[in-house]
Amino acid sequence: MTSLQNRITLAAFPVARIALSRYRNILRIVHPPRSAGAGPTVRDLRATVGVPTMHRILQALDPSYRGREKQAPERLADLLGDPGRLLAALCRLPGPALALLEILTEIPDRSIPLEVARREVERRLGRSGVGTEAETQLTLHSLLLQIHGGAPQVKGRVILPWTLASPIRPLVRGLTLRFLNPGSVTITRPASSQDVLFLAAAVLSGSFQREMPKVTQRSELYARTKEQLTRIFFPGDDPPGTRLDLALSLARKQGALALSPGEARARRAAWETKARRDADQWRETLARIMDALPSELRMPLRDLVVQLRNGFLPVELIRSALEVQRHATPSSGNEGYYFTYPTFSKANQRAQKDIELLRAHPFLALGVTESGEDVLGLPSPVPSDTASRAYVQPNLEIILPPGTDPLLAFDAARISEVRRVEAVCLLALTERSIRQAREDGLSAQDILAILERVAPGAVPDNVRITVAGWASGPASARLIRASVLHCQDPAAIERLRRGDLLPRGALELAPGVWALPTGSLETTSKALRSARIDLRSRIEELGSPDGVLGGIRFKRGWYDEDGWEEDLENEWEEEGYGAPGGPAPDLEATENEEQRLGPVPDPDPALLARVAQSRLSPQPPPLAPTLAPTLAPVLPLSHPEQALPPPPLTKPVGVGMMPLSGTLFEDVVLRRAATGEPLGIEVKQGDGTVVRYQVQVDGCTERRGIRFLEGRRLDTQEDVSVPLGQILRMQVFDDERDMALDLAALSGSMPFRRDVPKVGRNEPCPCGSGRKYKKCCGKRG
Amino acid sequence: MAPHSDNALVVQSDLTVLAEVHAPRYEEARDALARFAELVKSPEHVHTYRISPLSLWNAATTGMTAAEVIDALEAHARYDLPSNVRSEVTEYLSRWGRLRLLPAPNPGEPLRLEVRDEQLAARMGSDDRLAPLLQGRLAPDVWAVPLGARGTLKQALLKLGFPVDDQAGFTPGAAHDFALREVTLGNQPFALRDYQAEAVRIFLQGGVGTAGGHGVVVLPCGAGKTVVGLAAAAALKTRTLVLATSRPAARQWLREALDKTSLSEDDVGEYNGTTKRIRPFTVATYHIVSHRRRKGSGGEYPHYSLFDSEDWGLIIYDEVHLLPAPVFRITAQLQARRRLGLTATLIREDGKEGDVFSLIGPKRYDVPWKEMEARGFIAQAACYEIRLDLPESRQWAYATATEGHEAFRIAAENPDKLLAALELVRGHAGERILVIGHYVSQVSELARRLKAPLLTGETSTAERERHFQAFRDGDERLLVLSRVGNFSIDLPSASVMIQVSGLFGSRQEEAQRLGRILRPKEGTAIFYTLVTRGTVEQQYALNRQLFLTEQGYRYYIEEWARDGAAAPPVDPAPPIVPALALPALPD
Repeated sequence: MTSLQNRITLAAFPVARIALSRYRNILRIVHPPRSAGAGPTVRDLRATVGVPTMHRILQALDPSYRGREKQAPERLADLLGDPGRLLAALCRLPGPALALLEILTEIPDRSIPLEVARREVERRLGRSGVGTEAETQLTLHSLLLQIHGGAPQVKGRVILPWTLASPIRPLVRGLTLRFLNPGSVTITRPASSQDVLFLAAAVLSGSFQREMPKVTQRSELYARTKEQLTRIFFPGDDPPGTRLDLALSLARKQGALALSPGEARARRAAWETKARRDADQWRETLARIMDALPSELRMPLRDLVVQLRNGFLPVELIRSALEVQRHATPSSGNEGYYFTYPTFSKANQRAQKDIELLRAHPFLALGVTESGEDVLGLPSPVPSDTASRAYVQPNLEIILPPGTDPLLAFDAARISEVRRVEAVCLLALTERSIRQAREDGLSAQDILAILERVAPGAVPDNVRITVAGWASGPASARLIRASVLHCQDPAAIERLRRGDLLPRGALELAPGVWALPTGSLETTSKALRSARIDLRSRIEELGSPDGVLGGIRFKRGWYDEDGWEEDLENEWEEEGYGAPGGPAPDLEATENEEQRLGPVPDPDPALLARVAQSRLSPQPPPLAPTLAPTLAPVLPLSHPEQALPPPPLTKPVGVGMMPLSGTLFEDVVLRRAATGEPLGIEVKQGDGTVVRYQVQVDGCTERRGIRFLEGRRLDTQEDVSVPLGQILRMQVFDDERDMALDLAALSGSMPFRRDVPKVGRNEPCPCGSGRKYKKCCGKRG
Repeated sequence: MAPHSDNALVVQSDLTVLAEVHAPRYEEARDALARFAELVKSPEHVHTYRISPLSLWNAATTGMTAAEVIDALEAHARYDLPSNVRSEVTEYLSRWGRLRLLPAPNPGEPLRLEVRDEQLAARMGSDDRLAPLLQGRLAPDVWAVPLGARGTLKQALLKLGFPVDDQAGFTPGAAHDFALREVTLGNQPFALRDYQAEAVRIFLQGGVGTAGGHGVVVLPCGAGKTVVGLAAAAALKTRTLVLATSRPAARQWLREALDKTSLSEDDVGEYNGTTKRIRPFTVATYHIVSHRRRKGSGGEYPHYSLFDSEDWGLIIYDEVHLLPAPVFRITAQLQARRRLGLTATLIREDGKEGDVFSLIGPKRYDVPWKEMEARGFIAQAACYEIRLDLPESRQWAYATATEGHEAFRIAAENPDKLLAALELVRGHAGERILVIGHYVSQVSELARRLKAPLLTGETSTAERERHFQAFRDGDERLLVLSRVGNFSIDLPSASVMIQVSGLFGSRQEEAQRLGRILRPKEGTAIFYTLVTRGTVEQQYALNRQLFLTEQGYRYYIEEWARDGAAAPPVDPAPPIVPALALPALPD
């Protein structure tokens, strides 16, 4: 460690680098020479930084730091020289590194000593003696990425508790769930039965151990959950339908029991007995849930109750609209959440509105306490009523009496939306719910069979036809990128494979995933619609192809009739973290995402093989032989202006990051990786000159970078004569990790700066059409 | 408490009540419930009622108490009542009668508002919504109310959650003696049906005293609302102003008045854009009354003078659920006149049910559609949705159409609908058929193909009347109508309606159109809707399906294919018209 007045060289391990890259605007990160050894390495990080900045960094890293400014270089060197302390310090930082460690260790206190982290790793990996400190770091790191790498594509509307969020994540791919504040479970849009059921299922299910294989199909998840529930609730040979009422009744079972004013003592006594019995039953249920939880998720019973409760109550809504008070119910002497309305006085219009709002909640009911206070809680349980029938009504409603076989209720809720759960359960079949069920893997026959089970022989014809129509309605395909089409419907896939709907040159990357040639979207979408395949093209509905293609998604941007449109300012607000060496998912950042994902199929092995072959082939693609003699002028470094000599190149030669997006990217990477066409790129050198290269595209990186093989430099004259297609200007890195670091910096504290001047709306369009920008490429919606 | 499986009602804490039709004690429960709850929907098995403050106050006007309501619920509930239902019913019902509007002790003095609610009385003087409407406090619980603020005050108080029992009385109006005939001009014996007589009796509350004389009578389309209006006017023997939705509807009022009462041509007048004849029995349209010289808030309503032009003793509001805002405004100033609202449904798309309650009056009488149907006073109806494919030639246009109106229009104007309509008309040979559509171009094409008269907004009223009369007389068998056909045309002989396109998914339009064929006649009325499969139109058709099934109608879906091979439905509806091969479309 050298320590100079204004220059410091830090040796740090990857986690530290990630964290420090947040300070990229004040630190200049220098890429150390690649180590040839196969083992774990400690890599140097060099930073040029002034003393005041060091001081600030120290303050950020360590709240207990009280040193004087001039001591900062020494203290920082000291700190950075001690990985254990640095890790501990980093843990105090907000941001990706912190998030990772926090999730990993599940220790609410934001500081963990390295020893603890190491033990955690050992425990999780189930082996001891992880090894050296450096090795521990690497293991830790890879473990973090293992946990978070492929998974954090979570959408939707349920907030899960901090402790559950991380293990559940892999399970909730494609569900309408979302994570907000860690620490609470909240269903923000409770009308969706799917969410509620899933939440209950997830909590109940003991299946979110880390080693559980990735569940990509919701149907599979449902099947598992159901099995799990059966196991929990019906361990013996007890007939289903007489005991707990599954996920829906989880809510009811909490026994929010409201008392009527002026009711007789006898009634009160009876009520208390019942409440006690219910409480006992509830405790028993909780105990079972606890047993079913994997050991690392064990939590105090009280917390579990709170989380479950929170899961069924729109806490934020209540809190904002009303004054919330907690009451201990006198009967159970135990937990009990009631929300009183001090404002529910006569003629208080606001209270009336609140109450109307809350009444619309499918799981809540108003009650009246003995003292005459109005309370909000969960409806009192109703004895099961075997004499009553379940109905499917012609207006597409399902009515389930209390005591319906819970598994039947569960199935019914899968294909419908919950409208009201009280004495009877009201469900409504909607197009959305049926489509969702279909995406869960239920066929039209399955859905009709469920209806038939609900009301044997009494499903009205119009309901059948309508539901069957929805279930077999136009197949849907979606654009998961500007030029990547994804279709899940087997019949539609067959139809698409016939080839007449998709433009010439469309390439099936994976089953159901097609890359379309640039510019063919409009015609494709028309052709699809004419074949009764709905093309959902709004970006909110776009799924991520990350699993297939490796890349990022955009938060903003849309595809419309005029083509792909996105806001360059926000281009790097990415979220598909997961590159090895990349930053951790920032949980806060996923907060506003509402996109819903379906499972994306795994990449076509054949395609992968082709890509792999193209890379490894001793007979390189057509271009290579002619280029062989001219390989010498290799690609420049990422930061040509810095003085260090470039590290020797090994394969893969480089990674390009384009400030371009969407269509172009797909076209470049996917098509060229598959076809072997060369690509022209333009790289700005340290001295400001621009050099063009012709490169062989190898594939795409995890984060929308292009990985390419050796290229050759092009002369200006040659440039004119060689047909290269588009020449792309890009920033080039020596490997993906560096690019990831760069991206992390960008997505962290440093704003993205456009390197091309902004095109004014009234200026001529840069595409050369001669029209104004606003009339041409700048056109929106 | 073990469930009482015999009982039909499930009472939920959100004040909805589910009534299971198949329960042994259903009939009893329904009759009990109808007094204080509104029927929200009545699909096949389980009907939904809602207990709302308005429905409870409507019950209170008939003298029902909270104890009775709760007893009725308890007697018929299958499970325990949620505790809040008791307290809320008690609370809401106790509000009725706490505020009474009493007549002025001497003519010319302000009315008196008696407030038997300490909290409210204390607040009234300082509430900035109420204070301007009050003239001063006469006693701790009595406020003076200027005559002109009678309506607005009732409105404002209702918005605060307090209904006013208006006992301030009415001006008798100028007398005009007339009576119902026993034999109509058309030489048919005529008498009020029992429910009509009952409706009139309840509206007048047993006399011509101060208590009755304002309120709404809810009767299904075709149940004879016009007759109820005429009977009320004849009972009061006073000058009467009728507000109707449109000119044809107004013409119908006049025709009925001449046919069924002793009013002569000289006694009746029409008030509209072209004719302004004010007579003891005058029928005006909402349109003319709401006409404003200048648009915007500054504009005045020149035709408000109509209301002062005569000493009206009764104002009848036809189709009160369509009452436009300016009419509410003038009504608020006419609180001293007797008012009768007539409607098939109290549900307003704009949610202004409260204004109807406070300005026109509480609901006085109500008979559910299905019951009327069972008694044969209105026709039974079956609803068919016929799904057709969009022909290839239009697919492209549809696929590239922008969302919304354009796509809807392409789907709605599916040329195959012509063929389907032709087939349906052929299948119903001998019956009288109305074909109705939203787009004039479409209906004119239909009229040309069907060789039937076309009535659109451009058709003169006289021309329309001529065709309607021909249809009634049986000279015309088929009429093609544009949107003008939605309201108040009395064509009792129509038994089949073919709707080729509609106004997106309007519930109200469905009810109105269906009402056109629900006039009593032999056999079942059939309501066909032609829908283009797999398009936005089908989504809108879902609204219709929900609405009609919630009204308790059977809804069948048939899928027709152009090449004659009907797409196999999941479970075919009983075919009324055999699935027919559609001939190729001549181009």
